[in-house]
Amino acid sequence: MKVTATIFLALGFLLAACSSANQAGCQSFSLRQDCLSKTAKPLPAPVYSSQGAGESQLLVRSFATAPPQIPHDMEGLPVTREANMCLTCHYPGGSGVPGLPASHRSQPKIALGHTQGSPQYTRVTGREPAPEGFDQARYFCNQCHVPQAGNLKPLVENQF
Amino acid sequence: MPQGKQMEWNRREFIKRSLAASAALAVGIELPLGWSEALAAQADWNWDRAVCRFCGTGCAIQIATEGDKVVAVKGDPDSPVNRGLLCVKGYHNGSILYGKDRLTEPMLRMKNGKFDKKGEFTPVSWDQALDQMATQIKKVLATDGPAGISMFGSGQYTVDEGYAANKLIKAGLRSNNLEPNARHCMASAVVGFIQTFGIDEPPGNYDDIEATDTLVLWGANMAEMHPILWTRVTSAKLKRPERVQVVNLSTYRNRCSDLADLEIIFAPNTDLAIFNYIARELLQQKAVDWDFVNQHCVFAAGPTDIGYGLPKKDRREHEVILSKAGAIALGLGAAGAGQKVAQENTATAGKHWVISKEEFIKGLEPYDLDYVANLAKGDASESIENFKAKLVTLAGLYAEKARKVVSFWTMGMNQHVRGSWVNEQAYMVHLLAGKQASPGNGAFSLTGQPSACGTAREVGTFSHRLPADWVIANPAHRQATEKIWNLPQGTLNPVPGSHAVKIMRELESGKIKFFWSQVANPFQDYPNLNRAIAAARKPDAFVVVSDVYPTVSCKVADLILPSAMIFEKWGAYGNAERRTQHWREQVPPPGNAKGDTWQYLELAKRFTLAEVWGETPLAKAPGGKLPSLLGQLGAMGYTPEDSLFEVLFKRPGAAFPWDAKSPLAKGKRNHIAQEQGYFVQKALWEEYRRFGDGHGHDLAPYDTYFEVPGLRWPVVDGKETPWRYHQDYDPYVKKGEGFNFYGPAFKELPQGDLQGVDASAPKVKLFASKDAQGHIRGGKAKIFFRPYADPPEMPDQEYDLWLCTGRVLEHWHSGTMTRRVPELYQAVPNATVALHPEDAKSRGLKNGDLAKIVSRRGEVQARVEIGGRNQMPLGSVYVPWFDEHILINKLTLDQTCPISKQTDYKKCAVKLTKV
Repeated sequence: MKVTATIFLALGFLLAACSSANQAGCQSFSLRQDCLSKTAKPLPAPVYSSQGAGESQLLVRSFATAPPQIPHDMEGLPVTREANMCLTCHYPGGSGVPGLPASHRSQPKIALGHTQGSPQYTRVTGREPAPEGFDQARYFCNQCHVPQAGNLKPLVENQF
Repeated sequence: MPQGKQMEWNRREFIKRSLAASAALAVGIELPLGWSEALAAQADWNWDRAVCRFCGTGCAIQIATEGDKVVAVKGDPDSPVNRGLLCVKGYHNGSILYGKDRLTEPMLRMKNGKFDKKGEFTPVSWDQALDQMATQIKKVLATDGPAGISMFGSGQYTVDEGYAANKLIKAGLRSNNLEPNARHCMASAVVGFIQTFGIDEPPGNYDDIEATDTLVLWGANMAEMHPILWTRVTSAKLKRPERVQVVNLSTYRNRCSDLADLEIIFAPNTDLAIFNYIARELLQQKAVDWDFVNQHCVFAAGPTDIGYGLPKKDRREHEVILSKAGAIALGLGAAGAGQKVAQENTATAGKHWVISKEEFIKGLEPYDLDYVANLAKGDASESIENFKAKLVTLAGLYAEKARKVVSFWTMGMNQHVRGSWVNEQAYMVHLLAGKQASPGNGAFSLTGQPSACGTAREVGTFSHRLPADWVIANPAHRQATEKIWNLPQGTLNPVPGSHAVKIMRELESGKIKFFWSQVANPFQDYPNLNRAIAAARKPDAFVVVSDVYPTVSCKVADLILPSAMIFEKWGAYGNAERRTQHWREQVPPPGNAKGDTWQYLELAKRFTLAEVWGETPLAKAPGGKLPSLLGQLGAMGYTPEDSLFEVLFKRPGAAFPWDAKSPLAKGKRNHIAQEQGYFVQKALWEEYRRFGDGHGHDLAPYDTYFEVPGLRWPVVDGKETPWRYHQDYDPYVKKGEGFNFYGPAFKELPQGDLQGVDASAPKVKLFASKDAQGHIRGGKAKIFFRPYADPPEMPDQEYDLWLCTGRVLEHWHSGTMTRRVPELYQAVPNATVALHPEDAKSRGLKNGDLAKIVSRRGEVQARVEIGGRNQMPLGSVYVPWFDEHILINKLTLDQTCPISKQTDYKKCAVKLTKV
């Protein structure tokens, strides 16, 4: 009996501790489902594709106008002012390598100044072929195209 | 038309086909027979213009819906901002709506059928939820008065939401405790603008990027934080590679260095010294545009003993012991090291006065190349000669007469214990060089959030502000506001409320008992987070969180309200170039989720005037109370039984009926208008724009914004304003004036020297005259002298590393939306700790290892990243804050700029060990 009482007391103490301020935010919802006061259990390290460029398959996009993700290893393929290793293959494209689509080969035409009938000072008036062969604004490919850690399941299902 | 599952299947199949089709097109492969129809079918999608949900750039998007679902997103080709392009986040604007755990019902902590702070979250009806809120608010108002309640929003409020929140709490509940997370984001930028120009927000616009020869980034990682602006910078640089120079000043190497001509790695807080070095060089090299300065500027200074915005009990708020660098910075020389300086102006940090040109030059005197280079060099492996040469080059770019220069910054300079000062120093350099407020020339403060400018600042959702730069403390501004809002005289509480950091401290101390967060995740973004989390769970605190997903903040809430997301309501955002952009409701919110404005209106129905407009206790008000307004009601046509909803919202909205068949509605729904019986958003907009009309904040009629991809205010005579203060571009400047810095705030100042005010000298006016409309003519900008100061917490023997926090390209703020998008989550699933290879090696760590990071306030664990996108100098680590698994703000210090009250998240001391 005495032992049981002690256990109950200890349990009571534990429960009290759990509801105190230093065990806050313990609901099982949110992306991390543990107490905020704890140090979260680390998720597994991401593993990105180790397939070489040219050996990988296109990844499925979630909608037609989404930028394609990068399915291959990026090691040794930097994009800096001096060199853009993506363009080396993707500028020409072909032989199964996706080439730059038309959108990347034109650039916007901009008009500045107020004109009759428009409240806008700056207007896009159309597109024209990019003199350099591709739109220089898109030079840093990694602003739209990103690799994927295929070993990680989404934390929450997305129903898009 | 197929129904139910059949339709769903068709949609998925169709998308799959169109994906394959577009991939095939990209590769140049012939389409299989019949699949080209999938692409053709896209013509049936309903495309409409909207705005990106994420950063302050303000990209316009085209959003496709099919039935009640968003199916695709692309960049709006007509947008002068993004010109058809989006970043990786921007393309996934559609997916953010569809995480499976969207909140769809209000949830209240309950036990035995009643609210209980220790209860379990239980779904309740909106009526139960709102009744509970009203009960809690009335209880607090009765015991503590309006100082006991608070609301916390963000720079992600739509304009109408921020405006309705402002009106509800300040006019309705007579409390000024409304703050946006934008306080943590750009309050220092605001102080910089108001003190320098007398009016908020950037003079320039994004066209400066193409118009300039030089782009200097001051602690702004634009490549990740403003990716689409970076595409424009990239294009400008690559098209004119010889002439255009890009400089990346940062405390660590980031992606911007992949484009930059010059990379300068400096030590935290020493940007203050670098700016003064540049100013001194402009003088030495006779590169100051004295015609411009003499005609359009004055010199100014303020107190330097202003503390760090820490809690009052912290000794550093009372006394600072000067380091050698800190002593030299104040003109005391090396001999001043060790001197104890009492911090006597912590409460009056913002006061300032006019000084002479000679005093200004005297202030800059210590900031020579030797002193500044030795102080500022941030990479131990770089030689001092090399670093000096870089500073010389940098100063040379600003000094070169024929060279146009734009300086960009965001959080690096705003989240800074001297954020207001360093913002003012950027204007100091540009004004001295005469390179401000003209195409391609200017110091340009970028914002982080999509409507930090449009809502937080322009609507004034701060504890001291009202719309259009008006302030609570000014009786004339309160009166004019009461007139527009048709309120009894004296409704508005004359005592400014508590700023964001103070609100949390008051929740902790029990002074504030009601806290309602919207469009924000405060219990992930506040500094010194362990204390904030504990404050929320105090027995007498009632915390409400309106959100779209179950966030960290929801976990510590007492009541959770399900909100509609951006494309599930009509709204407007204002970006960093003063561009306001509106959009329509594209799809209905899920379940019982409702727009935030709906929530304000419904709560307002639960208060009668008799309940909230009687005499109310308020310690700091004259007589210790706010006066009763009930005697004035009759004359205004109100009765004590009228609700706040009737008086604040419904009657002023009567002139704006909702018409689903109108060309403006374009067949779209408006769940708020349909339920409230009038066009709520348009009514709020048309009332709101009366605040700015005729004094430099003019906005266009509501409908106009749906015809164009946004307009930059002031919109006068139906035209937007590209550059302000310049006679060729700004309708508020007369031809012949050249420039007119017409902002009205702080335009009459005492005189003094670097030490303080000379009480015997008369005040000076910083303008020539006022015209018949009361507009300033010949207005002057201020060139401030601001010294370097050490931050309060620097690495020492035990906590031996600097910690800098920030964001990543792939995620938005606390990751609530973007970590639920598979493509973004899988691109960057977790926050990492970036550090120097030597710092890793000395701790036995290698790439991918788990490290424990500890500050005096808390600890987290994160994986080590060496040689990634951010490359740290020795002694510095970087951890982004998007990851709720790695709550890095448990470590940050609740230090602020004492003037702006903005938190400094960019520097504190930590230690790091292997787990």
